[in-house]
Amino acid sequence: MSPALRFERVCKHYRLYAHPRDRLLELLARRPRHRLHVALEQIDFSVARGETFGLVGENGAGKSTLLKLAAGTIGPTSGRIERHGSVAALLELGAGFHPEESGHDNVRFMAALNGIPREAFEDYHRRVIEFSELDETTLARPVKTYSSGMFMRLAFSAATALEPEILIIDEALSVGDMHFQKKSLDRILALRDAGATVLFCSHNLYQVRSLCRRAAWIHRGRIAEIGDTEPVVTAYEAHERRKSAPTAVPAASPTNPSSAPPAAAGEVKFRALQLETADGFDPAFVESFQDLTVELTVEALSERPFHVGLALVRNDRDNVFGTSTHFRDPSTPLSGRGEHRLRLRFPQLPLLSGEYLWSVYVLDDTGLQVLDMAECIHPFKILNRGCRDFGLVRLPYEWELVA
Amino acid sequence: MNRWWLLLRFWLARDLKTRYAGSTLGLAWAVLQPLATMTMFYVLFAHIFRVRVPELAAETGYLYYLLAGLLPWLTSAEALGRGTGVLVAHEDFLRKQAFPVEILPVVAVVSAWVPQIVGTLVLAGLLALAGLGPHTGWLALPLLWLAQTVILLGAVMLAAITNYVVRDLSSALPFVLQVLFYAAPIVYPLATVPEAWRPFFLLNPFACLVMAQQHAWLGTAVPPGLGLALLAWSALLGAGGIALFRALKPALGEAL
Repeated sequence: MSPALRFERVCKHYRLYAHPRDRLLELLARRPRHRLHVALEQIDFSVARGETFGLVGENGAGKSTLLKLAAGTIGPTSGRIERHGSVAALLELGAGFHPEESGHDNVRFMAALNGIPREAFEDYHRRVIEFSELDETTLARPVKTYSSGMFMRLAFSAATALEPEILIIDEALSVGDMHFQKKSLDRILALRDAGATVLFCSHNLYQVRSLCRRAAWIHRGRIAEIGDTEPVVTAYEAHERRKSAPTAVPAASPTNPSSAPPAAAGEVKFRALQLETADGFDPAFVESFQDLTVELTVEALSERPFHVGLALVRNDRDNVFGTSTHFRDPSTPLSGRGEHRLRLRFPQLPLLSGEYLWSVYVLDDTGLQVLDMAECIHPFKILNRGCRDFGLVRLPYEWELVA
Repeated sequence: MNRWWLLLRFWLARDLKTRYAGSTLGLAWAVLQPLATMTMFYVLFAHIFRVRVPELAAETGYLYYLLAGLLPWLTSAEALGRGTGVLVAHEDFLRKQAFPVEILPVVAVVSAWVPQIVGTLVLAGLLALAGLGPHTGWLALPLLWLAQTVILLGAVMLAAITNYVVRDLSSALPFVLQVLFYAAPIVYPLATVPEAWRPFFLLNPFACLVMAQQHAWLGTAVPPGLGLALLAWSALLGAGGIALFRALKPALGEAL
């Protein structure tokens, strides 16, 4: 059986002009005046019928260009793209909606736009309305009066009710409230189970893992990895971690890219961070409910007063907890030339298992201007062997039997 | 093809419905605007400058003449004014949705016809009341309307594509339209133009449309070779504009 979608040595180049008139001058003078931007280079892959295929990669890696090529809204510079079956693309929810028109009229317009035959209009309209869960008074109003959640719901419903053989989705799953997100996901799963081919791009790696059997990691316009989802996504994650969390402490590498000092900096430098538990300095892992001490070393190159801030960061870069010396006492900043060492103690650390990092900020005496910083450094593991509670943190609690 | 017509209908309906959305008078503006323009010209030229059309009687003659010329002109100006920017305005949409792009200029031309349809009925009624029609000259009108549509389709496609590449066109457009307007015998009769200058009007395709329709309605004089000029413009602009549009269509959405 032939695949639903096949890319054969597909390249996409854009000509970039410094000025719009260069495009015209080039045409007239027949001398190149553009810079070539290679968006995609030698893309070769195919998606089998009924397969759900994921795309991962950084912003600007070429994922969206690839999806547009797959949807046929732009053409390749070279190479061949084959599509077998009707295509619906959710490249942007609500593309084709008019803000002044009512929800009903926009749905009818979508039907015409996507080539639904006149006799199937009513059926399509009914299914969209049903799925969107919007009430009649809302649907009669112009969509410009909708909340963004309501708008997204209608747009998602209109796009998926097309029941395409190939569905192309760009980051469209975080739609509306939790209830509707679940519903959208179920909708895509239902389309997949009904035999539709899904090409899917998301930054939510959890969704890619749970939806896709195969995936590709697009890196700088090329396919860096392709195959079963798990190894591909893992390779991409490893790359992301290498980029955002250098394993070395900045003291050992002062030119660390993620700790590039801000422009107004230079007078007070962050030098080192060290962890200490009952198991010693920088242990292989920190056990939950142990006492944890963080020691920070900063060096003042002038007399300028300063404060020090510290944040505990989860490995997805979410801040778990942050504090600063100026929260404690804004009126007495640290000062004095030379090395300063500070210790911050977390008694019986209530965090449960996970991978964490630190972000350190050196601030001026107002606590507003950043003099130096090192974000997402010094990764460490926490291991919970003390209780069966799960999650990020163990909150104090008590169970009570009331009846 | 069926899909194309259905989409054209919906796009046109949306265009007409949303154009004056939020205004109290709504679609009535499509007729009120040209009516206001006409009234202004009528007061200015018939009563203040006292312009007369030699072939026609006094003031009312000038009114018919003005109306016959303004109808095709206002449609042309409206189609060009709206159609020129239509690709740029939908640039992002075109990148996100596979779509028969030619619908955009076609809708610009078709929806510009709305005031002319109303105006045509008004003019025909006025002339019939004045005993100046109907006459056999009117039989040429459908053919002239066809020529007008072909010329406008070509001109709008040409302008839209050009403006997509050289955005300056939309800034220059109001001035270009003004030049084209005064380079056509709309507010002044052709008879007041020196004989030697009259053939130059044939170089303005919109003047050709205007003169031909005035002649069909009222029997006013036209420069020799007008029919040929109209045919040539229809072929050149119509075929040329449509061909250029089709040739450059794949490049749309590519420009960053």
